Amino acid sequence: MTAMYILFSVAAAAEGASGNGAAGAGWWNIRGLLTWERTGSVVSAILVVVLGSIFVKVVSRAVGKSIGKKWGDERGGIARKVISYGGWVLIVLTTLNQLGVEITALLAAAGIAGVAIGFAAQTSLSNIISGIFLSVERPFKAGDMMQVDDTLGVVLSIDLLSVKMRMFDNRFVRIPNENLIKTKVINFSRYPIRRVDLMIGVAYKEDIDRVREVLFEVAHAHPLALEEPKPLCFCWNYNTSSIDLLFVVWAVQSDWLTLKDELLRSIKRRFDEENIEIPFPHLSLYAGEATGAIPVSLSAETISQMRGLSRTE
Amino acid sequence: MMWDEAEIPEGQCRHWRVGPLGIWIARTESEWQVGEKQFEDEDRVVARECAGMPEDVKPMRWATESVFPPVRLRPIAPDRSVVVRPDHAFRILPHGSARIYISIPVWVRVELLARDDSITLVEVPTVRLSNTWFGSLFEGELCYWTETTARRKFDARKPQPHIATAPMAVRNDTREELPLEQVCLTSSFLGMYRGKDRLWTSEVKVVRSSSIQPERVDIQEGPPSDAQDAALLSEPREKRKGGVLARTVSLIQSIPGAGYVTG
Repeated sequence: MTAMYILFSVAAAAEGASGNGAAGAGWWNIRGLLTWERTGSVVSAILVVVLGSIFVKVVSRAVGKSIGKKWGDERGGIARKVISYGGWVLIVLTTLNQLGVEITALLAAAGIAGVAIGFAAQTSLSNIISGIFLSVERPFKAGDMMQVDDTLGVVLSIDLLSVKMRMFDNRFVRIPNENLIKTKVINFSRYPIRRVDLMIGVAYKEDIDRVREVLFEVAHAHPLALEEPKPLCFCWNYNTSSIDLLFVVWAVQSDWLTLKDELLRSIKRRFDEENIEIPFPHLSLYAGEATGAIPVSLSAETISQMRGLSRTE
Repeated sequence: MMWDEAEIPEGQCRHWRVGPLGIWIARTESEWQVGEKQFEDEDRVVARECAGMPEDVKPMRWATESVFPPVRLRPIAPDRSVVVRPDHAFRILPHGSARIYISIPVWVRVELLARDDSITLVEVPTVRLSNTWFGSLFEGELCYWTETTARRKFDARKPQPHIATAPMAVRNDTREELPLEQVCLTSSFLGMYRGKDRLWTSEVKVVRSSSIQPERVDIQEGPPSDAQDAALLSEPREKRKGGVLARTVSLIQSIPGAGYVTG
């Protein structure tokens, strides 16, 4: 319906422009636009298209580059697209004007069409507006590592409709901008340094001060562990089988995973050397008295029964 | 001796020790081989021919077509800024100044002396330094952290072959005291000089004019005033005319939230 309306509006506009205005001349009078008398208008319309397109291209590139340099490539890209689309709308309107089409009627038709298209493309428009908000707010940029819900990966590009990401197993993800506005986004690359948190359980019999010393020595010996901010160690919890210590060490973003892996290995190695026990969950059974062990005795009969059981298994 | 150029005939090997760093350079029919190893002892200085590389040293290799210019080692400043702490923290009075001497472990650059220019094969640190962060949790600079200290007085004791002394003059032009608890030495602008018995870097002048703005850092041309006759061994990594603005002096302060734990 909308398309039909636009068609008739253009026809009516052309009819008005042809000057005869006679009822019934109708749609076919648009041919009149391309007669020899109108050669001048056609030539100037072509000039408008050619020069306008060059002008729009040059201006959009220059402005996009300038904005990109100042505020980042994503904003530059969006500015370039906005200028380019806006410029082309102006070129089309000017060209039609040159050809004698009445712009007012066309704009009225476009307005109605815009409303109809707006209803039809609600989601896309929402994504575009969200994209503009994202580009202004800049919670992340291309190349950042971020997590959106369960999706963890690196941002490839921020476009008008969606953000493209590469997950670490090399899967491609496209997330609509609208979702990014609504949901929680964690950006791991925003700040230059990041903390490695290690929860380390040691046996109750261990000297906690000595354990802390060993942990600090391990961090101090590792070249990727930052000296400042200093590593910290908190006695965190009396667990069922262990005393839990929270050991935190800082690293630059790019070293985070390497440092975590190497610290865990170094701590295990040092604990083995120092005879510091990392306990596994165990259960102590008491026979009702505080310290007495549960008396266990095996008769010859029981042993033979157990052997018989193991053979049948 | 240590920093002089050397010809290495085909099939021969040469060994250097710069404190804890051992370097071997070997030449075969069509390639250069360079190996390096860290040792525990720190005071040895060696520059001699050797039978070959130790078995536990894995050499880096460069192919060449019968062009074998002389080689030489050069001490250079570390590739990142170095953070040190004064042996005793102190404060500089308003409109006062202080001179400190910072000891930094040098890097060694292995160069081929081609006809027109020198070709760098590799750069190796004499001591593998830890990383540290100079700044806040939001912005700052990744630096090296060294165990050596900054001293108020020049330490004239026996010098170590891999340690260079960087003289730094700090002036406090503000109305507040300037606490000197750690110093960030912007090493990429430092030239390296050979004094009578030790290595020196260019002299650094730091002026603090505001407690909010970064300090103005000027690197002096030529050898430091403590070793006027020192000879230039290597140019700075980066050359810059005029001073730079950089955070050089800071308090050791707890960074808000650094120790806070969630979950």
